[in-house]
Amino acid sequence: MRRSLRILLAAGLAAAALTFAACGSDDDTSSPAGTAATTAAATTATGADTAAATGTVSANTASAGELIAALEANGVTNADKWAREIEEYRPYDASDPQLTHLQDELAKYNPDPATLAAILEVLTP
Amino acid sequence: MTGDAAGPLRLALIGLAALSIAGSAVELATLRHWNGAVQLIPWAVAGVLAVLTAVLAARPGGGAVRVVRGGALLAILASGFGVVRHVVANYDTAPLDRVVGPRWESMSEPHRWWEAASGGVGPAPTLAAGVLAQAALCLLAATIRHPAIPRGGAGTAG
Repeated sequence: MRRSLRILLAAGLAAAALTFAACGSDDDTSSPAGTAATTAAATTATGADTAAATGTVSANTASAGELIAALEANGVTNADKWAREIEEYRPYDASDPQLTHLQDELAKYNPDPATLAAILEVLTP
Repeated sequence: MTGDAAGPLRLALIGLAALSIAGSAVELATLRHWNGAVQLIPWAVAGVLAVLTAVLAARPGGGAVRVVRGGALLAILASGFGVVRHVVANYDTAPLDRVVGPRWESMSEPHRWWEAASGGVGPAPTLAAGVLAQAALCLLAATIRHPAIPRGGAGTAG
């Protein structure tokens, strides 16, 4: 049941990304009167759009469900266990895009290098 | 005045306990062993043991010696809990290991627990928590035939 929910969440994020991407191409035809509101809404949604579009989540603030969905979407097995470890070693330096601290901590579990790379691909500070 | 013939040995055991506690504190700090409330337990145990060590080193009375014994026994239990937690943590994270992980599902339960307990898998040093138990045992040993606790026939007192 939980696995199905995670798959649905990942599919929903992907659908949202496609939807926002499609809507973005129509912005050129919006009326001047609604431009400010549209821009504000678009700005607010930009972070979520980017995350959804690129499949990345914040290692510092993402919920367990978001972490699991992102990891599974990138082909990481045992995503629930990895998500728990990512949460355990917070916080991460926001100025370190390589998440060096997290890399050091996850290395203790002797992961496959490809798995570690796949985990880091979906994470931002 | 009756002396304590075992005094030098008693002091040596107290010194050994103190060194073990200090070493444990350094190890805990270097490992940043403070992720969550459970990981703070060895810090509390080390703190209690440090206090008990100081009490025992200060020529205590009979009541204080008994408190040291009780505290040391509790510390041993807490250390045992720590060893179990480390083994369980290794067991839980074994599927993440690139060597053991792929064959984890095919392993028998006894084999899995052996790998987790023997350091074959997982990040937690299984017996590390036992160092504080060793310190507690030193304190316990230092209270054997302590002059502050009268013995039948000998009638010694600190």
